[in-house]
Amino acid sequence: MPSDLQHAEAFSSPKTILVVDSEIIVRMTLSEYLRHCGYRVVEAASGEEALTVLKDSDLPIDVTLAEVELRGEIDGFQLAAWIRSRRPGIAVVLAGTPTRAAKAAGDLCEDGPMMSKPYDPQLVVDRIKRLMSVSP
Amino acid sequence: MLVVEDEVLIRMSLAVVLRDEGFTVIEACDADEALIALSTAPVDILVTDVRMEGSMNGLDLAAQVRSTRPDLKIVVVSGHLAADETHGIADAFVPKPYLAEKIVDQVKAILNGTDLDHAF
Repeated sequence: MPSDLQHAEAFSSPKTILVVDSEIIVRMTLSEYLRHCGYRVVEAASGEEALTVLKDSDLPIDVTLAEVELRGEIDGFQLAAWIRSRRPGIAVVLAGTPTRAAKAAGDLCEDGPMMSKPYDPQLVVDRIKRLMSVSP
Repeated sequence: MLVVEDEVLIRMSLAVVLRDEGFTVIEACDADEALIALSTAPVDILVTDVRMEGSMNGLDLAAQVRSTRPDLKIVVVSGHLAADETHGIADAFVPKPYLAEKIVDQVKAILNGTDLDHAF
């Protein structure tokens, strides 16, 4: 059975990724890198925000990359279950840690529309750690 | 540029238009996220809504930023405040509802040092 990430990679040309993370440093860093890879990125800071985006059927989301632990009432698992039942065409990648999220973003970038040089997810991890160390 | 807006669809729509105009945009859903972003990322323009959940509203955020980062340009958007309520805090005020292009024009005017009708 393919993993969520393999499922995501199986999409021929994903164009828009919904990044769901309640840590702005993680969210903005992942989003920035995914945009560098050529994706359109939509950001959500909670499961509730993600549902608001996903319920707007005019938004063509191809992949949702979500942290498991989210602030608010809806966590990543619940979000994934909602997507599976209501928007089954959207691939879901759940990440339990920023490191895993960065690796998932790296895999998406390798399959991305504008990949021009090797992508090192460790750079994303290092940047997230550096930014978190200086945030208040 | 940092866009602070708690309505995700409004924030997303504005960010998309600003990115299409060539700006690098960081999105924050409230003032607390905004303060983290401001402490960790290079930001030269803040666009903030006023009514938001969190430890402070957008006008308080703008006032704090004005005192700590006087170099940073600030655009306040609100459907509840009048422009004169942001005097001394914001470089410009845009009433809600607005077209994203209005924010783009305002930001460009600020960067160019041009006064628009609704700029201070």
